[in-house]
Amino acid sequence: MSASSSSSVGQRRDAGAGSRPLLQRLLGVRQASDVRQVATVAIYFGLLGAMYVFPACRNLPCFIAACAYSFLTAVVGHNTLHQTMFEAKWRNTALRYALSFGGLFPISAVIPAHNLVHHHFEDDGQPDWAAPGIVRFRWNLLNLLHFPNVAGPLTFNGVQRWAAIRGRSGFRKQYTTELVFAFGLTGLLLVRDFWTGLFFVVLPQLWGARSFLRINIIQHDGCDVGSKWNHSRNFVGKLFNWFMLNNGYHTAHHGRAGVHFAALAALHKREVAPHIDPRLDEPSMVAYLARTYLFRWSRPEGIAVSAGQSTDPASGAPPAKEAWVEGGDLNAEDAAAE
Amino acid sequence: MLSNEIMGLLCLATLWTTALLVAGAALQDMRDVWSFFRRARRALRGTIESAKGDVFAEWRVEQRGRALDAKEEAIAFHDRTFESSLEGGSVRIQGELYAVQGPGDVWATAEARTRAAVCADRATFDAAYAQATRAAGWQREVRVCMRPGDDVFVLGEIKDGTITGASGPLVVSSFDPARRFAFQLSAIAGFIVAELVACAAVTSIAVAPPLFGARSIVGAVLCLGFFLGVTPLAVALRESVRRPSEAFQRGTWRRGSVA
Repeated sequence: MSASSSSSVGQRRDAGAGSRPLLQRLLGVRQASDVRQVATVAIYFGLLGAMYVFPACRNLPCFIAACAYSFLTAVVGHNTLHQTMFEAKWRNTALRYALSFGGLFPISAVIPAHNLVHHHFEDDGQPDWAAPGIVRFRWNLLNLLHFPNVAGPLTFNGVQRWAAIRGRSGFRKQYTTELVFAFGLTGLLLVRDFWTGLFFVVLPQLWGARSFLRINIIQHDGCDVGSKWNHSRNFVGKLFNWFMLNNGYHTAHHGRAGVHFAALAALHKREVAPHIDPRLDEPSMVAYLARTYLFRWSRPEGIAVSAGQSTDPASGAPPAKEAWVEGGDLNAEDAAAE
Repeated sequence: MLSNEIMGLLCLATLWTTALLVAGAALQDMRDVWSFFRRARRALRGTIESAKGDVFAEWRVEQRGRALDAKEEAIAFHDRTFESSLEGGSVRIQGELYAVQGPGDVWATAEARTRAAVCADRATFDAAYAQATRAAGWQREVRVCMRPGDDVFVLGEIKDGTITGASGPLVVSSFDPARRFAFQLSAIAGFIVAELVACAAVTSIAVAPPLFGARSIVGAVLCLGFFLGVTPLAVALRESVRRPSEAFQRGTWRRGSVA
């Protein structure tokens, strides 16, 4: 999937430096929309820095914004591990260290945990480490709260086992250096000013990392992971997706993980929407969260169970886990249309 | 302005929410083990007299092995699918002969599973290692069979000379399941108490006067350590009390350990 996506990215890259927006050229990002990703990370670190240095910034709006942007920065991490953001290798490497510090975990863990295991929903017969079924409280809100407590350790245990396999020494080195950097820098901030570091750096870091895990239950709980189209829940609000870097279009992302985030809206509209169970196209995540976790006690019935079948509603085809479009990738126009 | 007091309370609320959620999830595991324990206390102990097929019952796990990055050549296995097949036959219990008919769950002892998973010789290791270095790895199946003459515990109900799973799945176990489940119940109960006591202990250090002083900092570091450390422990415990037929086998073959 990544190989095919690189061709479309390449088309954009070869378009000529002169035709690119100024910010794109200055930042050295591959796509114009990547500027938004850089801005997301910059805002997050700006908020952390401001709260750490200036007591006046240690207020509720800044703290909430830092927590929100911590999660969004993890989303950037997710996007960049599917498709690197910068032209220059050193900038991508530097970004990985920054992202690792941002979420207080080695961002490279996303490669085995998300790209390999989650995107296939299983690895060699092993279940997804972040499968919604790992939590099973009757009160559904507790499932949302508890999910990272189980998914986190399962993920890091799985990553450790995966990394021990022969030929993955490069990954282990990167993982370890990111770990040392993330904890080292956080430790330094704690040593310099413990309480400020704990309250205004570590808390947003943990919030972002745990929300990044938590999004799995939001996007997949009650879905039919064996289905061709109904394996994921989508949140299709435009403003939401602007901030979320189009991660609301989750079915499209799962179908073709190498597609740049900017192209996902068009892909969803064109290829997912006609096939997916309409109940999995949620207009608002806030409304979904309120409806599913606040205003009801029990866990909602799964979509596959309530639908009574897990076939493609459009064609009646049997479920398939494979990518749903063979060959090719989304073209540059789709990305540019964003 | 968010004061240290407000933020400290937020941290402690998060810490305790996590501790209580972990305890709640452990209680769910306890409930599952308890339901097995209640049946296991009434397990029928006997000896397999005859088998319908080649074997009376068989437990299998399909594994994939991959070469490890280590000085010594080694293969690490992960489990793919677990299967139980209860062919059935007859079991003698206190002198009486009873028919046992599957389907059912098969629980083998850890010792038997380990014996079945061990590498037979160097030639087997070399052949497996050559495959295990490839991306697809080396696939194998570990089997433990129960045959006539083996002692077993049967979880089921006797009706008309036949043992069936009327009140739950029929289970044939080669170990005393009640003992194992009793141990697991104690382990889970111990964990719940220990983690709540530990949470209370680190909280008391963190809120010790003077607030936000040196002792408070030590307490906060311990709270952070507890927050980050309790969930891996809880998951490890949860994995250790999986249903016996689906207990992780995994394992590693090392060249130096092969006979």
